[in-house]
Amino acid sequence: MQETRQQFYELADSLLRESGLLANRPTWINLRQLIHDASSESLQADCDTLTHTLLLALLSTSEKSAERTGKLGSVIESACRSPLEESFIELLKQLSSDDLTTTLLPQIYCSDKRGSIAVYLAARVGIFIDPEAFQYFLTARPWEQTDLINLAFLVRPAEQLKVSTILEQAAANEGSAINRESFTEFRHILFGQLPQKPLLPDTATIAAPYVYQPPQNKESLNLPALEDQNAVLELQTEDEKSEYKDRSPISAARTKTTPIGNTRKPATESGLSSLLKLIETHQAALFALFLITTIFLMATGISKWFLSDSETRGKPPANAGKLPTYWTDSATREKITERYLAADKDYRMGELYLTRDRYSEALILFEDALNIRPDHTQALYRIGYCRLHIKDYAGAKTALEKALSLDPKFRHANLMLARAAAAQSDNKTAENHFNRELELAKDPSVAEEYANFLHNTGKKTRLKNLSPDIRHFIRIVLSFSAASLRNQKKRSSANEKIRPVAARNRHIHKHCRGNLHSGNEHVLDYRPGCFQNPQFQLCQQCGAPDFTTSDGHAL
Amino acid sequence: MAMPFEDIVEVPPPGIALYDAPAGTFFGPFINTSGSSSGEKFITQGNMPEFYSYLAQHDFRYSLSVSNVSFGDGDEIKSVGILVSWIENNKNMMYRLYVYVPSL
Repeated sequence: MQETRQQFYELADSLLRESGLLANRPTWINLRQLIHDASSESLQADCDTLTHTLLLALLSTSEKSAERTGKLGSVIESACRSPLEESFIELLKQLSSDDLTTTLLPQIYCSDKRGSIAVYLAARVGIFIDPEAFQYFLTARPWEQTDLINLAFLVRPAEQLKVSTILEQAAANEGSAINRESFTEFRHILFGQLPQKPLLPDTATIAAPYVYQPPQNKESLNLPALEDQNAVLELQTEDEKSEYKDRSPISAARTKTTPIGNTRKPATESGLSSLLKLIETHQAALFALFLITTIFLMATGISKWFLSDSETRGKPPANAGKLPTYWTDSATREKITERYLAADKDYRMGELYLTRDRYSEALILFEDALNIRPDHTQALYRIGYCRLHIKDYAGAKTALEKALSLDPKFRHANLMLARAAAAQSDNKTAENHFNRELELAKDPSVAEEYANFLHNTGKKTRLKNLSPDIRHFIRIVLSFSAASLRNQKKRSSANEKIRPVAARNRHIHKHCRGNLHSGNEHVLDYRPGCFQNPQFQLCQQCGAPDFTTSDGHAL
Repeated sequence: MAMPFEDIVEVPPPGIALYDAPAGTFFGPFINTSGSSSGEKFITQGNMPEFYSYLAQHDFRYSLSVSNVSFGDGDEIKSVGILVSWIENNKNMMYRLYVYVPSL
């Protein structure tokens, strides 16, 4: 058995040195014969390298068989976890594209080092993949710059534009910002200058070429003689030699000092070399990153935030729980002091008395509020309101005018002034205040009150002199009032069994020729658009304030 | 949140902190998912660390301004001003909300 193994390794090394397709190489037949005669499982059980394991899998299985796919998949997966062997990559190149597609490409989806190594191997082997497949690879996992460069080797040169277009469309529909960034970066790489050959991922290492040692010398395998090293160097492929030549002095020095034949390196040395390599390969990107970060920190003062705010985050501020000089109202931006709050309290207590129409008590509290805060417009308004109700018209007028002097747009102060003026029979002043109030806001209740005021003071014709928009607004309000009244009357009519319409004393409206009723109820039946209000009679259709019936009755 | 009419009393500024609120105040406990006191949760660093940090960082507090008038025969009204204050960008801010609470 030992002899068979030795023979296998010797023949395998010969085969790997030969050129041409595997099946056409002279040693291929001999190896196939050897595997046929011996048990492949016993050889595979203690294969020294992945290259030999891969070769054994190829020799012991038939093309396109499931067994071959399974064995190749297993070997390639192991290869993606181990230091790479140059001879293994060379052997991979001999595999059919079908075998590589089913065994190597699925490893690219892995998010750990297997994915990085798989894409590197695929690039080294020279696989090309369909343009539509790239978006799926790019969304499968996070991508390092090195991996993206290696992935770009899998794009056929003639299909670069197509891949870019597909990725541009995919980016437009992509929800994830990370994936969009991957698409964009990959497109930039595609149209940029690609390196001459794929880049070795940071997580991968190249194993020194394997030299078969007979079992009796196995102890000396870890401490190779100088002659062995020379022999190994001679076995390096042209690609590898050029790769070493292309490297910087740092990595070249590392290569020279690495003990050849011993794949195990001290962890610190490996980490340091990886770091140096990372810095070396991303020198420009790191410098740009450093520059941008510095500018950002200087511009935003975030460094200060890091130093100070991070310490206080989650802790109450120094002045927590202390009574401030003032607060800022979050809604009105007013300055709120303790006096402000005290005045507010008196004001609200006055409002409580108003709920029970206790004007005198309320007035005292509103005046208290005003003493604390002389600019309390609400308190001034309420003082005017209370004084109006206790018939102190002069006092009401003073307070309300003061409120308006502080805030000319204060609502309802003019209405109160109009009421006070009306109560003193100063109709002209009342009209002025009604008009001012309606100019401030089109309040239906104010409009109705104004209309009633004009009606009660016999100044129906004065409506014509009003500005068109106020007149129109009053008409609308009154039409709603009339409609509401009609509905109310209809309901009451239904309940009270009213006399038939024919039996009533009916008249015809001279404007719209609609039916009128001159009993206790005023109007029941009008043509659409004509309108009468029982308190203030006005035809909506013609706008005539007088409402005389065709037979001379004035309702 | 329910509270007996008599218990609505003045809480002068700067008020009571919403975080680490003492038991028996509006926010102590903050939530109770069960029917018993075992499910009570206070806004503490241990119970709700992120919420606690936010409230503490801005020193969220509440105070109550209560005006009370009694009209006799048990007819009583309280006007309650709920004043929520906090510190934002080194500025003392306040949000005010007023409600009337009748006794009947």
